[in-house]
Amino acid sequence: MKRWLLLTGCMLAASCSSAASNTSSGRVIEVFGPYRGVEADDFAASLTEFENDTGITVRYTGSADFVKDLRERVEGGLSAPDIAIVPQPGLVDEMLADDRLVAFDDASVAALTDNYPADLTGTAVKDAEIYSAPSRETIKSLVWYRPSVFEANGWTVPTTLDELTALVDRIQETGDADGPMAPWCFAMQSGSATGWTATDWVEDLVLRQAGVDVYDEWASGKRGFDDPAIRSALTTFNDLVIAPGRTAGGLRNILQTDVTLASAPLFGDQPGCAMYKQASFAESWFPDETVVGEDVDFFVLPGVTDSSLPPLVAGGDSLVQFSDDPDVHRLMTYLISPDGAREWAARGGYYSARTSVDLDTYYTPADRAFAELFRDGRDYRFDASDVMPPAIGSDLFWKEITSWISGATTLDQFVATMDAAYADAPTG
Amino acid sequence: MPNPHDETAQDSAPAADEAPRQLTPIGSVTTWIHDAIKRVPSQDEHDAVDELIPQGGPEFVEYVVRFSLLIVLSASIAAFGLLADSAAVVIGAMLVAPLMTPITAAAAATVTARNPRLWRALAVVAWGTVLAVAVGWLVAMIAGGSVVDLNQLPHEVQARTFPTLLDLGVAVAAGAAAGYILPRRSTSGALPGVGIAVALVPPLATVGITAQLGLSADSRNAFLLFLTNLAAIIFSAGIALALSGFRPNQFSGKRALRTRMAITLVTVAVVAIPLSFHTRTTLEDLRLRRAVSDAVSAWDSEVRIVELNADAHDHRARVELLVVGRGDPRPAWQLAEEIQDRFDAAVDLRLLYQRDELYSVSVR
Repeated sequence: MKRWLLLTGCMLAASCSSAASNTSSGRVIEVFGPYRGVEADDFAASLTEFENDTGITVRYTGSADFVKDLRERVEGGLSAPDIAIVPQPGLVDEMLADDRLVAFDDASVAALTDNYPADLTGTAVKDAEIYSAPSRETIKSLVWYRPSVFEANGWTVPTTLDELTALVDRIQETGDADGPMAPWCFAMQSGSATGWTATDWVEDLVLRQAGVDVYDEWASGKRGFDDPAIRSALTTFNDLVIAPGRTAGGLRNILQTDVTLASAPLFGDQPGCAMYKQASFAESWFPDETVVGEDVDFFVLPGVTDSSLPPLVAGGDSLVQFSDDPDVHRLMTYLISPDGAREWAARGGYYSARTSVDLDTYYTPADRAFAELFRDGRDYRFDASDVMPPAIGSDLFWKEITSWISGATTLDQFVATMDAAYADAPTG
Repeated sequence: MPNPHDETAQDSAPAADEAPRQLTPIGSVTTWIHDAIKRVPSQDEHDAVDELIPQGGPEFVEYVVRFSLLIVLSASIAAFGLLADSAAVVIGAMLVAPLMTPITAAAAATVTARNPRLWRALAVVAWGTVLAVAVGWLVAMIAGGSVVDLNQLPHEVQARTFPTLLDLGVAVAAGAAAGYILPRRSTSGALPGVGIAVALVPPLATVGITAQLGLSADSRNAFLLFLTNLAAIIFSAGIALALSGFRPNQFSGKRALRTRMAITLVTVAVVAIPLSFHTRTTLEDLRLRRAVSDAVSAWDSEVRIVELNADAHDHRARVELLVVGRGDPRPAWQLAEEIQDRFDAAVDLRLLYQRDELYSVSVR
């Protein structure tokens, strides 16, 4: 991370020589991940304590083209990072199978068992050695809205998908009391990852309309895209979100606006949209000083019926290591420990499955609310596109859904392309 | 040995060994230079300075009417030129602007310690300032909203909303030139050049325009540019006039001169503080642009920068880059790290990469 921080620290504390002497190699540890902008600041802030305590310099680099870039760095001969933060379990599995990862040392394994539940679901294990650790978790199934706007228009939070559809129709027809308003804010532009906001939508609809068993079969490749359940979810998504008049700015805005800017119309003096479906991490994309629970609030995307709590599509980042170096092992141990995320948790926008931390003091109120959603007994499943083999879930699915939404391909062509690729791809 | 409290003796024959004890450093230097050249202005030079502003009566009223008309006209030309983004029109406004006369008259009144003239000159400057800002505001109200994109102000407006120490340097040099030219009628042909070098009305018109558009920070900065020019001209024109022999006759006046020159110097120093911050920001942005340019060359020597927006703030570099290359783009993260290696700060990069492929086809 930022060498100026170290330099400034040196000037202030005059402790450079002693700090630097703790660095066995003297080199900079490179961490690579998907966090950019505010999230990159938050992650980097969490590294400061480690850098100050050890004198080791860490540089974090975050890219919108994370999957493509990481593969190039690890497999393509470009310099591999020392540690990566990977949101795609499918990519972790692939790199583990290709022997690209370095097993954790005893200190990191101890940190993992000390801080996380005994059931380490999602941790990459091979030959009794551990190769990945969970990090930040996210909930994808949230719909953000402004309570003041809902109240002013007499709208209520829907409890079923039919109620949501009726509300969307009503907003599209009548708009806000002060003028026209689209039901949704939605954008897809995210570099080579363009399309993930749409796949998140479809996954939530599959999970709700077809249930967890069908979802699991689809995510694991046992059920194709041409399946009626998947087609139904895609059609619902098109009718509910993509159809003309549904989104602020229309199709052109959907395809060209950066995902981090998608919520801007929600916060206008005259809001351009009423709702914004996005993950818990969208909080960091909201305007400064936005207070969750006051200025903006969320509800979980409703299920088909209100007889049970609607399920969650969740995401999560894994920490993996590419260098067998004492300093890198030391950093990994720190990142697994509560210290490794304390600053980010205090800033907000971070929560994890760590059981060793006090929920009330470690997290912000908004993040505690997210954490509680995981603990109220409802079903949740990992983001299907991230579980699929990366060539399918983190590449083709994103590209093909973008082509379909843009009108370049039909639904038939889309599902046929996906199934043909799945048939050729090795399944995990 | 002259009595140090004897004003007559002091005035007529200042003792060289006592001067450093009683004068400020600036005063010492000017006294030394004045003593060295022993220059006394001619009657014509005195008249040239006295005639800058009429000393009252119908002539003064007539002068103020003429001055007001020229301010309104020059501020109108400047405001339309600024909104039209036309440097030539803005320069034309500078040539019509009459503000230089009362400002240099204020400088002359300062060094000759003639209070009524000083206050009269400053009152005329203040009136001209109010008038020029009001004209800028009115022009922007009439035409501005429809022709100006708030996110992309005309370059001529932008250029006047971020004064730096370079502007102070221009004003000091131009003020000295004005102080040298004014008493010498034979050199008055050079005066328009001074007016162009140190623009007075365009910054005031910019104050009015930006205030009307609700851009208060830009408005403050444009007014800072005007204050910079005003303080620097009075200071350096005063020095130049003093070196030309324009000084108070009485000892009390000489003491007042030192006080006044100290006040103008302090004013210049005060406006230099925000200017130095601006200068530092400009230099940081320049260093960042060089770092980005070098980083792009190191990243891929085949690509060409088409557009670069870079801004450094709080140890953070925000870079928006449009490059054109012939082959596949190299990874953007490498470019961001190359920039950080050179600029040593947090980097947020947005890169747009365009393929440069030329196809040439003929059909007969």
